Amino acid sequence: MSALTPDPAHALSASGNLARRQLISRIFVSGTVLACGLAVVVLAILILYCAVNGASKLSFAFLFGGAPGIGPDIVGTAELALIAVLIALPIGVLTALALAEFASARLARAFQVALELMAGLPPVLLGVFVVILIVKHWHQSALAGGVAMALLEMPLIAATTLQALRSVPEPMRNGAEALGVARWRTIVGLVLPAVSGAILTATILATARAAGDAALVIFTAGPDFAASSVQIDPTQGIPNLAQHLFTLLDTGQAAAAWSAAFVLMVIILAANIAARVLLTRNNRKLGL
Amino acid sequence: MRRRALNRTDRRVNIALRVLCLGAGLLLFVALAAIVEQVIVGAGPAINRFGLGFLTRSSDWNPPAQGATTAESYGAPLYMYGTVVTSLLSLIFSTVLGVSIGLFLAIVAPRRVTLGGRWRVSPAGLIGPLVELLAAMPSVVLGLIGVLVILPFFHSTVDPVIHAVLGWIPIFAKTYTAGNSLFAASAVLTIMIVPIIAALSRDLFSAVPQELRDGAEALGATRWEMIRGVVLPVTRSGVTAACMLGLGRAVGEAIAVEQVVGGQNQGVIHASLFLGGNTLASMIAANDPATPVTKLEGASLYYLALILLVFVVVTILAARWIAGDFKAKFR
Repeated sequence: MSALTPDPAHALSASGNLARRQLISRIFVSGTVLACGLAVVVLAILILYCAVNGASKLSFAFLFGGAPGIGPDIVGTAELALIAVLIALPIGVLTALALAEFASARLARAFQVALELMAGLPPVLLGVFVVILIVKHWHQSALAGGVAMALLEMPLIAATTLQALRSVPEPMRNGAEALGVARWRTIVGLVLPAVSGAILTATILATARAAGDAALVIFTAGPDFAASSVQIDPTQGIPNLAQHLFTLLDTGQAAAAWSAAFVLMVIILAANIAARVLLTRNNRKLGL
Repeated sequence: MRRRALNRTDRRVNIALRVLCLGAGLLLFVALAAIVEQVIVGAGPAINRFGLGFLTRSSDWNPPAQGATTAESYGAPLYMYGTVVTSLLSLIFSTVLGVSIGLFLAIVAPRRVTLGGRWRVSPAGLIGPLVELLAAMPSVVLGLIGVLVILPFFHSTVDPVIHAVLGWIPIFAKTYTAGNSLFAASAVLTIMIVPIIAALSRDLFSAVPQELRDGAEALGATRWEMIRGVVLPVTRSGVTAACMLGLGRAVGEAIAVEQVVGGQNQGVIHASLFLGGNTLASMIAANDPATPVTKLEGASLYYLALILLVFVVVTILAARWIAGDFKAKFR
């Protein structure tokens, strides 16, 4: 408790006259308002610039057609996201279960550190790792890109699931235990359904982050090619939005880049908003 | 001890689930160990060739043209310098901005504002989610905004002003023709990490007990004195940990930085922040390690990745250590 009680002599001793103190207070408080305004303005600039510059060139052919359209890129991003979720979701959830239900306190601490390290690794390093692990021995492919994305998603999904698992009321578990229900039935039938909303939210948020991160895919998912048709072979390189946008920028094709960025941004922001709405509803259902 | 009243299937599935979960958890350690091991192995040829001298030898990054046999030479100081400068600069900006936004959302913002008698809105409830949206912005999109909006703006407005006023200080000296610079990279990084620090510190500030704040104000403290005397000291280590997490993101960001940092590889560290540079991460992103010009260049890129890995791991562990300190205090 002592740490919660800061030295009152520090700032609370009345110094100078009140008017000056209030002026200082007002200056700093308006500073926080300004900072907040700045953030909102920056967000508005980001969205408006992309919308104004990108939306005007959107057309059915651009959205769904092959090059110079981005139809194949959208399909490719969806496929990469699917591969990544198929890998990251089970491993992430199982890891969280291991941490919350099975591991001893010491092992749980080690898991926690490993999760935090993993979650903090920069995407570009994950990309490099997949290059050494897979691409060098094989070739660039949708599978390799999916693995890189899964490496980013896994700790995010695990961390959120873990948080949800820890908020499952203990009486729920005890009740099942008292009735002689087997542990696995408790977990599968009671605990997992209770946290399914959180898992879904975490998966959407993690996928949105991985799908928008070009550093994961530029080395792994294949040479960027202006694909004229949809490609879905997971063992081959695959066109995707993030990488396409990166290449457009690198080669100075600003006009096409705006439209691609607008599409990517709309997809990712929509996923984020959907995830948050879902989470709010889920929390209300659980009475949180 | 009596056998628990479970049938055989249940007992078996119990064990299977336990093994499955712990196995998945183990995979986490395996993946981490593999990342470290593979990056070290990948960097092997460069480590053999340059040793620790790689960290200090200032050098061009000039892979020979195909078939040429000139001696190759690579070095890391330029990129380490770029990473340190851009991430520290953006950390300074975003700590000030992020903590201010956190303070506004948690403490300063009025609970409810009534507009025209009927509409009631809570500013914090409105702006909070917007800040979180800013955090979700993909880094390529930020790179695009960086190249097409921020760079021209910096080039036409910000750089000349700073140069004219502060040009006599070496770090503000020359400006680069296109606006690409370490300074521009720091600005883009700031946009990336402000929402992270803001969201985390908002949660910390909201957790400060109301009685403490009320106590300060009851003793006659002004708003700011209450914040400085109570809120900030109580949350100091938590906020520091949040900043370290932001720093970790800044150190590792490759794509957005690569777009705006300029990428000048003259092998010389410029004092001016307004000249082009490169960071560890952006250098890797700009030179695809999957298709290096020579084996040694590829290995040297992995060596850069290894240095980056060390930077990041140190930051994360530091954040964890500081945050642990914070938790211990609150208990």
